[in-house]
Amino acid sequence: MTQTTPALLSDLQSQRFARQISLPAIGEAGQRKLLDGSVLVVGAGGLGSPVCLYLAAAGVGRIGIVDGDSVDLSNLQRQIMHYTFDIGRLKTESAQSKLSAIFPEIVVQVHNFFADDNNLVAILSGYDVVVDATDSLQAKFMLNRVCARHGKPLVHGGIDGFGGEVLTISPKASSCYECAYRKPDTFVVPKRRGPLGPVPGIIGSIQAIECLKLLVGIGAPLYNTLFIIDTLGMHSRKFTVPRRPDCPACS
Amino acid sequence: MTARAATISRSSGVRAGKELSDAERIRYEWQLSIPGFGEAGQRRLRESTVLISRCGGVGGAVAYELAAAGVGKLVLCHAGDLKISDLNRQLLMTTDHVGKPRIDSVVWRLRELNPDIRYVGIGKNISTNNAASLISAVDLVVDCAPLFEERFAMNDACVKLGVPLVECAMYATEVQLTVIIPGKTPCLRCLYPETPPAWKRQFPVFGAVSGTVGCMGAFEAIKLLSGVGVVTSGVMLLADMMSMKFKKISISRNPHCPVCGGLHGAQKSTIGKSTP
Repeated sequence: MTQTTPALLSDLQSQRFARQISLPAIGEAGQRKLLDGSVLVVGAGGLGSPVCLYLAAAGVGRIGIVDGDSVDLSNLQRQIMHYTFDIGRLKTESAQSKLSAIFPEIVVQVHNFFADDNNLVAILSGYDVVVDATDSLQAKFMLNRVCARHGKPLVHGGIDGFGGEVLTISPKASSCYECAYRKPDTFVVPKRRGPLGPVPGIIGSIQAIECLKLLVGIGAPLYNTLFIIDTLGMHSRKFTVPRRPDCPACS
Repeated sequence: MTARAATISRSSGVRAGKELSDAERIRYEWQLSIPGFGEAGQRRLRESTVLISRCGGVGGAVAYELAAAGVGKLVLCHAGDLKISDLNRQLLMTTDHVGKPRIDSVVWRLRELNPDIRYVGIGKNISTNNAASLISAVDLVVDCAPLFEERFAMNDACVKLGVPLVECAMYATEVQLTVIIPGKTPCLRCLYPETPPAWKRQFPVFGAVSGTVGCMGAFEAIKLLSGVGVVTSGVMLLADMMSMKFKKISISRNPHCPVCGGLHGAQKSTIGKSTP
């Protein structure tokens, strides 16, 4: 009797992901890692839309989505995962239906609440990578501290008007969000300056790419490196962010 | 040389059309607050017609963003039936559409996103046969085609007709972006006189890479139409998403370019032409 090695992928999976399996750095083994991988996306809005859609399209096997909000007409100019007929529906449920339509094998776990340190701790351990797709500074500092404390890799993303940034964090190994920015004593809600939808589209797409790098173990993730882009003139820069020895979040 | 979007759209005498409705004010509330865009920018978008070809990995992201932003009319070109291997990147396609015309899935998804936009779905890619007639009826073209013969067909017609062309291209994990203003900036033929010999059709692609350049191209289109920001023209933005190395290189016109070599100065922009 001859023994055959079990195939890494089903025929259907090989066909579906053929155009990325052909990337030498991915191959069938890399695709297997994506299918076995899991990502928790905190926020199902402007950043969360491209993150969730592109992770599902790439074949990430399990995606958790944290959001307590419902879809509103004014969300639709930038939150492309939600459609006009979704108005009033929970964002997590709207997201779940879109991701399943793209990749029916995906497992989507919906967490219908606004993230805080308590409710995140209860679900965090079930995921390989966490994505910051939140829309407030307060949530960003909170998420960073929770991930630092529990040793979870975090892909930070943020936008302000026409500007956007991404920082990828390997807990205890690379600098964190609070190494880059000092936490203010009080949070002032800034005056709204957009954004136009392509701005979170660009940043969310980059965050999705960072997740794929972490799950497969390829490329150069933005460790210790804050990527900043001003989309108004498409100027971008990378800033080295050293670890702060006295960082209140990760030291 | 960097063209100011403002000069393009304002000098072309774009008519902003009638006032926004209450529903439009709510839908676009977040972008109406942007300085330099505002209600006038929104009305310019609504009066504009943009052609996108094709609507796959790159063009799907462009179409999503332009429909979400409120561009009044989108002419969408994409040939063929949906294959399962399209689904790792083409966000306007869904698994239940496999085997059916791609363009139907494109229009159906966009209509669900924003029913206020007029969509013209064309189940063909751009070619030398249809480029001039399709492009003569639009204000702007976003080139998202993977094949050079399609890209050349769009470039040649845009230069001839004086229509701005947003060039979004990708290969594997690399992206390229530039905006062509006919007679003013280099055209695609100044950069690529012929199809690069190593170019192949079935190149590897991650959806999020095509999404990055698609969103950038959509923003360039919004800049050109609304007058906000600085258009990425006269330079080529190059990025490798695996290393996150971004750079801009200067590009210059070829005075002997067979397509745009005879043009001097800015051609009359057609932006706003569809406005009555």
